[in-house]
Amino acid sequence: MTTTDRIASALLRICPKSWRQEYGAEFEELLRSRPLTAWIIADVVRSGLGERARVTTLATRIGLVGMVATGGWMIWSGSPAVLLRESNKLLPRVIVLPLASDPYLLFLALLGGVIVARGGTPSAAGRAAATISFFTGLPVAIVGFLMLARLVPAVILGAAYAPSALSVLTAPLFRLPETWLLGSLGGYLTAKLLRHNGPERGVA
Amino acid sequence: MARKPAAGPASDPELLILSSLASGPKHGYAIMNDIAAFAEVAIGPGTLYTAITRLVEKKLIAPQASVGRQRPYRLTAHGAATLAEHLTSMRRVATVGLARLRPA
Repeated sequence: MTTTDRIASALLRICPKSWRQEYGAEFEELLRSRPLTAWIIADVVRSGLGERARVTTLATRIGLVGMVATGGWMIWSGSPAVLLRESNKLLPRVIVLPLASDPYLLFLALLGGVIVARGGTPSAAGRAAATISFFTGLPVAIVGFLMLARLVPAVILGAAYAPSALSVLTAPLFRLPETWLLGSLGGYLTAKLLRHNGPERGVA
Repeated sequence: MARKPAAGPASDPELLILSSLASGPKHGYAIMNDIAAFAEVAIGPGTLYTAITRLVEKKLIAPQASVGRQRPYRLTAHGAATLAEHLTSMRRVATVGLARLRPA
C-alpha cells in the first residue's frame, strides 16, 4: 500500500459510513488517481465534515451545543463544582445543575412537542431529549473519569465539597431516564393535542 | 490552466456537473477533467462528490452500472430540463449585462 493509498483511505474515513457505502469505492478510486495536494486534502476534509454535519440529527447538534456550553462554563469558572450539587438522595449522590434546572427540563418537553408536531413519535422525542442530555452532561462525566484515573485531583471541586469520582462520573447518566421521560411526555401531550384539534380543524 | 472555483453562477459545481453530463454519461474522474477543460475550473474531489450526492438526491442525475470501481452518471430528463432552464436564465442576464456594458 502506497502513501497515497493510505492517505486516501484515511480521508475516506472522514465521510459518514452511510455515504461511504454509497460512494466510497468510486471516491477512493478518484483520490488514488491523482497526486493528493494540500488543496485536494483540504477540499476532501471540508466536504467530509460537511457530509457528517448533514447526517447529524437535530438532537445531536443541540447536544453538542450543550456540551460546549457545559464544558465552557466549567473552564470559565475554573472548577466543575459550579455545575454540581450534593444530593440528599441515596442515588445519585451528585446532581448536575444544568440538567436538573427547570428551564432545561421545560425546553426538553417543548422540544418533544415540536418533534411530534413535525411528524415524529413520542418515543423519538424521548430519544432526542436523552441524546441532548447525554452530550450536555458529557463534560461532567469526563471530569469524573479523569478523577477516577487520578489525572485530576478531587480538590478541583473545592475543599468543602468532595464527592467521589464514581458519583461525578455517573451523575449525568442518572438524568437520562428523567429527560427521556420528559421528552416523551412533551411529545405524547402534543400528539394528544393534535389528535384532539384535528377533526375540528377539518370541519372548519 | 484550471483554476479553483471562483464565486459566481458559472462556477457552481452542480451546474458544471450537469453541463458536463449533457454530452453523455461520465464517471467522477472524467467529469472533473471535462469541467477543467470546458470551464477552466478545477473542482476538488470532495466538492465534486458533495455536488454529485445532492444531484442524485434531487434526481437530476442518476448512477449507472459500475465499471470496475468507477460508476458513471447520466443526466435525467428532469436534470436536462433544469439545466436548460438555468442556462437560459443565465444567457438572458448575460445578454442584457453585456449589452449594457457596450459603449453607446
